Amino acid sequence: MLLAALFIACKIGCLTGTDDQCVVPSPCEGVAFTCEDGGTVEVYVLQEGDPLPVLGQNVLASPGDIVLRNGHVAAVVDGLDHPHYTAPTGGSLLDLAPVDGTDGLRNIFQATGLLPGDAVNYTEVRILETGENGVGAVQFRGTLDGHPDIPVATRYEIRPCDEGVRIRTEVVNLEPDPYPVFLVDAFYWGGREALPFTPGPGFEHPSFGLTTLADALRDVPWMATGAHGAGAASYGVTSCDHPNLQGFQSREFSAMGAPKRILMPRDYEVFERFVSTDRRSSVAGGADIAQEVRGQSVGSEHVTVSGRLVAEDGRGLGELARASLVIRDEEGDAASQVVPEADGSWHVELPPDHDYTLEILSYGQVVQTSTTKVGGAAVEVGDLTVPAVGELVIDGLVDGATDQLLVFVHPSEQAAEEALSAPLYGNWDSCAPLLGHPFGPSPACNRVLVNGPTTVLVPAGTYDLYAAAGPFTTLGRTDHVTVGPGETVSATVEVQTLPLQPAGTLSADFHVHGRQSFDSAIPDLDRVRAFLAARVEVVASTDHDVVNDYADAVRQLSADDRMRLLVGLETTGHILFPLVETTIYPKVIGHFNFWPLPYDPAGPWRGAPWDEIAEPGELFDRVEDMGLLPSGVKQMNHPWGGIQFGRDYAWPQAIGLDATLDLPTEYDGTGQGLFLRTPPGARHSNADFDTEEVMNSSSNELFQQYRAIWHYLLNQGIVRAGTANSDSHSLTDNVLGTPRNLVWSDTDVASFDEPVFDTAVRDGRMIGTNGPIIEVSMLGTDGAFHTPSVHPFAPEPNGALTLKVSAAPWVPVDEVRIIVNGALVKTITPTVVPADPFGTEDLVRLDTTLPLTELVSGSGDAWIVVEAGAPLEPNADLDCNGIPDTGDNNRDGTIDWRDVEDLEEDPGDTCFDTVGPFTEPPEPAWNTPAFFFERVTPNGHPNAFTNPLVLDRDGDGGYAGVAR
Amino acid sequence: MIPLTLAAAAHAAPACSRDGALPTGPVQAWLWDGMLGLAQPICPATTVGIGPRALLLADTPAFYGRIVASGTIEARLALSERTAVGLTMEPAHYESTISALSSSWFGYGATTLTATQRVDEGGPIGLAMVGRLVLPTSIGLYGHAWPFSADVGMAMQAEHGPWSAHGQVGLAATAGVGAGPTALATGLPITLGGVWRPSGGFSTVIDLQSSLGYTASLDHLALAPALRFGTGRFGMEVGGSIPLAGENRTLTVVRVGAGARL
Repeated sequence: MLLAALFIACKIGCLTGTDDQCVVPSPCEGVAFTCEDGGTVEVYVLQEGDPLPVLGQNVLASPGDIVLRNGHVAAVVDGLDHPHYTAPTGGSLLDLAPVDGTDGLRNIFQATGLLPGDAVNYTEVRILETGENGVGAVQFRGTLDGHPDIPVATRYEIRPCDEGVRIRTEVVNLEPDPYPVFLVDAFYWGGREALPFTPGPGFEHPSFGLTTLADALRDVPWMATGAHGAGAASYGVTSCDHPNLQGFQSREFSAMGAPKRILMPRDYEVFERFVSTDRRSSVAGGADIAQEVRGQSVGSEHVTVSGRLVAEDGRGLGELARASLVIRDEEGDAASQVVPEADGSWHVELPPDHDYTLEILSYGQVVQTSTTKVGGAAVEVGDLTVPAVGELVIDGLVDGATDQLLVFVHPSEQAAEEALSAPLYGNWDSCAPLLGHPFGPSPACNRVLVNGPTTVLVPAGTYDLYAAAGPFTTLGRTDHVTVGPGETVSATVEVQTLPLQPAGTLSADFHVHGRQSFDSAIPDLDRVRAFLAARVEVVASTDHDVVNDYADAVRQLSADDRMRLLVGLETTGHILFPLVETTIYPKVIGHFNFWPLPYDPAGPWRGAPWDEIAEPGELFDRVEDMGLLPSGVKQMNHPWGGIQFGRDYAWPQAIGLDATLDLPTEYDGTGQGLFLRTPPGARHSNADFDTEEVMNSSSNELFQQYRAIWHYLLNQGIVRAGTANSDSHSLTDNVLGTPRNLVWSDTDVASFDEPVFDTAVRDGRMIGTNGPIIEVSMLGTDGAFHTPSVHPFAPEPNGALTLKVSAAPWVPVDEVRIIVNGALVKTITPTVVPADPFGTEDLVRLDTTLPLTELVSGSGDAWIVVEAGAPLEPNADLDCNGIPDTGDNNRDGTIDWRDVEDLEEDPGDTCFDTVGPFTEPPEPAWNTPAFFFERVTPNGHPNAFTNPLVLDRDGDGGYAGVAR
Repeated sequence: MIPLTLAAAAHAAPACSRDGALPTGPVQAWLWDGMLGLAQPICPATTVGIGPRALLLADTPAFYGRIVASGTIEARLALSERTAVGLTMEPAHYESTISALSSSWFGYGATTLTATQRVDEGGPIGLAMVGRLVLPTSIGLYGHAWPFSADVGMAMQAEHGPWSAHGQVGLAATAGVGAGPTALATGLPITLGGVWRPSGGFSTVIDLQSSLGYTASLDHLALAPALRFGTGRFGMEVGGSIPLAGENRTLTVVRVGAGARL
């Protein structure tokens, strides 16, 4: 009996792993917050028609999700059947903000490791306390996704005065073997919003790969976010039951939890923590609360340090870039970060008994430091001065009238550009100058959206202002604008529309992100202003995994008559799964765009389907079931390169496509065989997309790889329209509309007919460009002149290719390339070179005809694509898969193993396992034509391509590919 | 097999009649921590011994591996010609689980108590009741769980010239004490094996180790070979266990034991 009692007694919570009625104990019992009114708390399931409990554009709450709120904060945990991002089921913290604040959270989900099977699969939810007893709590139970014998239970709790959410998670190992457990909260930042901060390294964390992640683990007392460019709430986390958190940080993910260890059979792990939120966007917002929690739970001490920043010119305090403080201890370790309020006041909580250095940063540079000794009592530092800056009032005129314009602010001299160049707290690319969070609203990095005189604070200096309203206007420049400290200077940039856009075309960007995407922080209003500034007439809103409609912002800007929105979606695989039978590594299927889709402003994923763990064919079915019309478009995005946390961006790369081999028409168990396969039970094959990207991003650095895939598919008889899209996520990463598509269709903005337009897109009646405009046609045997499209025609055997290339004077066109069946058959150097890149002359660079017999030999079917722009850097295919991968990086005239970054010696094989990188064209010299192009197309080089002219030369009425 | 053995026994020496330090009985290479379920030698003897053990598990499709390396010190005390008790300590136990994020631990391992009581009449076939208790002394490896394990069984051994046979069938159980799951597991370990001893200083052993029902219908069916050497009072065994079937994912266990008969 005693023996039995020993085994049965002391069972608490859900730690047995087998009790269906178990209740996870309340977390952080030693932590108590007080508030003046005593506070109330409620927990409920969000119903149709309920107001959203949390505000902000990151909010994704929908009916069926669970709300926990008190008078200070509101939180939403997603319902079991509403999983988001990497979580296989609901049960993640989805939205969290102070009641008077803005949500800045993507999601926080539980996991015990890095593999897909280490994520938690919740199967049961129960509201434990609705708030009537002064506690609100909801409990989720389930198992690890890949380990059904490892039960997990999590309790989310809120109390009346809490400034965050208490969480307790219990994991039990009922497997026969030991399990390597790393029980964490995984914070999904997305990559372009908030930055994680930990005491010590601050914002700068060791880089790591999936195989070196263990080296990046650190023990820290708390973690908090800061530097949110869109003014959203900050967050902090600290443990209530462990002296420290263990985890890693990156701009995309942070994982914070109990120290990793071996979980033996029958053993359990418990992790209690407090996730705080504060309306301040500073680290100090979330961190101060975390330190209060630590003080109550582990007895650590903290004191309040406060002060006031005073701007010499009285300008701009309260803005992230204008002035912020990073506080370091005597070892140089970062202790906190804070952005002052508009009146300059600031306060942080710091560990006592240190000598702290207060670094004042302004526009990314440390402009002043001050030291202060902090003992055991609160310290008032007093006033610290922030140097004066200049004020630029920028106006933009398009054809003489005020209009939306994106102005690039560049230092006039190269030395000044280097001196001003600074990244935001050491993260992301440097900006010169750093006028604002690089991915937030305007001003962002060195870019300013103007519509009428727009005031922006800048470091004192001399600047050139550049602007172009898309590729069909002049390049406006107002140079050597000097602004001193405390001064206000006005400058106007003027651009003029050029007669470049061919009649009957609409300018379109089919890959655009806004703040609803997990990796974007640009508000909707600035996003739409960017559409207008770029003179893009048709935009597909393609946010990651959610449908978003910018209609409200379009209306607010009275832009209804200037542009048309295609409401769409980009599906983004997060959950790895066994995709390719011939490899043990799980995969995702890459990214696809879809439009148009119905927008459900309150529904799960706002009308998108759950897009995980599916081959493309199955995904196409799901999107159709959510309302994609038959006339709609399915687009394969960026078809090569790019992998993040083991997740491929590109479908062909995920399956290991070999462009030297034919595509199997029957599935043979290989990755190659997946390309044309129709998954069991699906209505669509994996190849049923309509378009594929050939140009993506303003830098267009992977163009040669994307076109190699496209050309390969064309030769295989898989004819899909090629598109060119910006994939813009902000004002900075990619310029919206650069590149873009020019679509020949029988509709216009005023009387826009979406099915007609989309049909033209699917037909490939378009070119892709970031500047040059290519117009081609060829006479058919039917007597008609045919322009590019996916539909074959029989060419007049003695006919010719009519070719005209135009461009704005600031867009260099150094060569025109004729591609036949994937091979370069002719290169033409245009002889027209504009004398003045800021002028209006010399638009037509080439106007010629080329006999068909000079271009295409033999008698079989063929296709022709024309490209124009800058010469392409030579790149070779060293791994023999038909896709170029390595450039002449050592500039010795030969591409070989010496150009491969990760090779120390000749591998001795003809085909290498390790390859890359590509060679980028060198940075243009200052004040050359290419330099001026780059001023408004960062890291970009002129490039354009036509869709194919598909030639049915064998007269069988169709096109089935090109024989090898 | 038993009738044949009985018939042969009519011409066999009494069980446990051989002198010398050459180890006897089943292969001492175990799959479960604390030697749970391992068949015991039935011949009481007073010995001391040490030995390293290594276990390797690799489940590549699951991205999982496990490595155990440990050193044991053991002592057996013959209380009489028919009774013996034993103590095995594991002062060095290294455990590593290998996955996308690996973890490892080093410290003191399990402590095992054994008892053997012969119940035969002293003829050529020896029979003994055996028992084992495994105590959760891996403090630090187990964070919150205290698993107690035990096994009991009936062991036999028969000798005929250079050949001998042995076997054991029993019941093994483990249960956890504490706030976590009790998770009582019970199983039926069965071992059968034979020894060829061409000389007093060398023998070779082959066992078939199995268990039913402890974590699965068939926990494991393993081949356990060993080579044994002895001179004077000192003996040594180099053995292993290689699961051939069952749910146990272990690839192999290798164990070297060296001892002295006092």
